[in-house]
Amino acid sequence: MAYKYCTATNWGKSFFTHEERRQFHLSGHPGEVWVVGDNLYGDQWISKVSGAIKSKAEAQAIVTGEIEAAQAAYDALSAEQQAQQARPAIYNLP
Amino acid sequence: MADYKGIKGFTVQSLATDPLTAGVAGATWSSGGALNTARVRLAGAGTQTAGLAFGGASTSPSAPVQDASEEYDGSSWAEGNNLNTARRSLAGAGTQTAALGFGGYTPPANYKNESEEYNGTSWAEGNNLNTARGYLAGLGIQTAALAVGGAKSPSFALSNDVEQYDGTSWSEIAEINTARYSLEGAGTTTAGLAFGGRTPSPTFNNESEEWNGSAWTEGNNLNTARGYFAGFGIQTAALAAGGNVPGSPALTANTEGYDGTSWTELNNLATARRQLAGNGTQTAGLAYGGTTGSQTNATEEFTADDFEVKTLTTS
Repeated sequence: MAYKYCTATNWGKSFFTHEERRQFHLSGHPGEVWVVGDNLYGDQWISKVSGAIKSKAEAQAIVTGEIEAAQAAYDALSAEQQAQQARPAIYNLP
Repeated sequence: MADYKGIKGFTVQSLATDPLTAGVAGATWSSGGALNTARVRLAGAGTQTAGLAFGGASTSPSAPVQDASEEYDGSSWAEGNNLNTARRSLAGAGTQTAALGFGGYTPPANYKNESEEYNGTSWAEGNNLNTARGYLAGLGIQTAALAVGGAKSPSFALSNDVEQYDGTSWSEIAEINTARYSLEGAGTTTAGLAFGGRTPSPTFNNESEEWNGSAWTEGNNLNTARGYFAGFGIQTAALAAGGNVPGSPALTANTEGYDGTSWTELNNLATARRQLAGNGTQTAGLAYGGTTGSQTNATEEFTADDFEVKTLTTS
């Protein structure tokens, strides 16, 4: 499946609708990064939310930066608090 | 002039997208209004159009635990009066106008036994749990609720304790079979469900246990073992969404529904997250807060279309 990548701020209600979820792939990631199915409906959604198109590498860099910041916050926790949750892990966008 | 039906015998409807799958199997998550206070490890109560979110914490190590309480009207969250005891990893039950918040945790190593009642306006102190604990599950209503499992002193000991609230006080009842924390609950004090959670780190649990008012019995397992997720509904129609899972990145958007017998994969959250909360029903649910790596205030609404698929026959 082909994807497009963008950043857009989730304003809440109707940012994405049930109908849109059925029309194209959509997944949210740290840094307000959205992975959008590359079809007509996905394009229409990016336009609706005024999404700023990113290359996959640019989107990945944003996500990685956010997770690295979360890792730093995790590393500052006490050992007991760290034992209660997993350290945020960097992952690859589809 | 003859129309298409007159020539071919029936009409054909052109659809821009695939036909919907009926009921919960075709349900999807859409965006809802954002929480005013982004947070993790919070609790919830109520319905999709009358929800309540309370307590929790920031992912920042310096941030205090939260006492904030917010009400959802189906579109947006509004600040309500705060909990009396700020805490995270607590449990909730009931409705937006008759809710219960109980248990919880405040770092470092303070397990909470406080129980508070919300009347739609303010939180009032109720009688305490017998066993202080956090990371527990809650189910039921304000006058008939269960507190299930969790972690307690000393040293984050796993709990299989279950207590029942009658609107006035908590009483110990039969224990769940598998002690665990960060599990979720659904249903009532006579038809309850406890599912998922974690046993000693880093083990994730996929077990479901059904409560019939007197005993816990094993049900079929979740397909995806998880902790720190959103769970709600009733014993025969429950939902599990998101959470902390094994591997990397250790969070999921996966959603499953329970029909009283087995768990089935449903459409995923748009944003994978853990340490979120949720409330509502299997056909009209709500999930909010949590962390994607960084904490989020995003809300998603799970809605099943109310229609029936019928077979078309022509002659």
